[in-house]
Amino acid sequence: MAQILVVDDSATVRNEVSSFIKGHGMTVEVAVDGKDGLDKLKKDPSVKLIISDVNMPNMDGLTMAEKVRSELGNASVNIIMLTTESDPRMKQRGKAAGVKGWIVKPFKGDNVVGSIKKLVGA
Amino acid sequence: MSEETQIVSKVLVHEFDDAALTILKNICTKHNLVGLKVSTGDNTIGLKDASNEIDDVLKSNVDLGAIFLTEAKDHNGVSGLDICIEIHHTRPELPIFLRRESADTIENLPEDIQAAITGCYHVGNVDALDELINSYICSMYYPIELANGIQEISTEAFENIVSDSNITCDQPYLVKDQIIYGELFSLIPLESNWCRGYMMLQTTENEILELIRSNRTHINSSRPDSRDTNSVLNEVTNMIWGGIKSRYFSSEDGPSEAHRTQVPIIVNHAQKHISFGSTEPQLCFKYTLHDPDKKYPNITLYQRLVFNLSWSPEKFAESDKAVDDFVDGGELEFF
Repeated sequence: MAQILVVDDSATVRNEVSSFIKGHGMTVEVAVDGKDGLDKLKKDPSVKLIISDVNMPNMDGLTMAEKVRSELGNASVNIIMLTTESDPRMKQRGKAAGVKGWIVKPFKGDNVVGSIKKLVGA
Repeated sequence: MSEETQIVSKVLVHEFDDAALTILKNICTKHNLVGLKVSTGDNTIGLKDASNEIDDVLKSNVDLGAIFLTEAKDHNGVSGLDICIEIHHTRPELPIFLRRESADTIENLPEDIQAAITGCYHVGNVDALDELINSYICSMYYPIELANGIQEISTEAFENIVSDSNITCDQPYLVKDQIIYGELFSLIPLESNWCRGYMMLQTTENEILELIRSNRTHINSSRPDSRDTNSVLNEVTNMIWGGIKSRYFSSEDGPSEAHRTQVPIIVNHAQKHISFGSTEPQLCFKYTLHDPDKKYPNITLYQRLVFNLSWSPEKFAESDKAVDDFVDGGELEFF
């Protein structure tokens, strides 16, 4: 049972974000790409928030977000993209897929910890 | 980077004639060339001669833009004519400029030497040298604003991946070399309506392993391996790429599908060479990561920008105006 699912193909980012989340008393699961993220979410539907990269092999983060809504029918999980991308067209696609927010890397945990806690109800 | 920052290029000089050295010094200043002079045998006895010294430089990690030779024999009896073929064989991508005693061309030289020499000049015809430098070293114009921006974006990325470290960068420089530094490099495409090519980051695996062991990265591993080093390089590359895209590529200015030509990239591990199919000079940066607490030894990273497919710097100036659209990194933008 994890409150937050971190999806990123970079081990560096997965470690950085999950360490930060654990340090603030929340539980975390990690996935290495969008496909893995979907699988992990299927196994643990109690996840309250997904923090996902956009550009990943196998399945990108926006496609994963779309499938979370369309294939898994999970309308309640919050999704935030954490990415180097800042292209408005990508943000628009994310918005259409039900993405709640967008963080342009680097991840600065202290700037967003309040919002993260709010989204998971911690 | 300061306002005085310039893009330079290192050139290897084998010359002993005072008049020619004065000309070279002036022309190096004019074109922002940093001359590395090799031994001509006039100072000491027993040191290596020019051919050995040039060989040492070519086998090292010194990135070069060109080589200046002279046909006259130096104090060790070494002439550029004796060594140009071997140099050309070792580094065919490097232009070799030969100072002739009086001739304006290389037509009277043996064919194999002509094939090795890019062009010639003599002390009475400096314009010829000027043209050679413009054609072969300064043939691509890189805006200093771009160089400044790339350095700033990259330094920020290093600071985000590596904690509590000082990052320094040498002056940006142009190279014709195709040598690969270290055994670990990343390659990522850079594509917009004003440029198409690649960014490459080069380092050694050992340096990154030392960095991870120092606990200055987010990799938690007591016995880091190549997957960890790849991950660190991957994320730095990704962050720099994202920063360049955000700052310099507008969302509408991608190249059209019809113009997405590609050329093969050749990597020769035996020669430690990488070829992008273009002989135009590449824009390079050398970064050094220092740990004030000395938990890891200094780490060197070379960054190369290779716009081998398309380069329109005049459009860069226009795209630079999009800077107002910046989103602060690390902030959560709610939809």
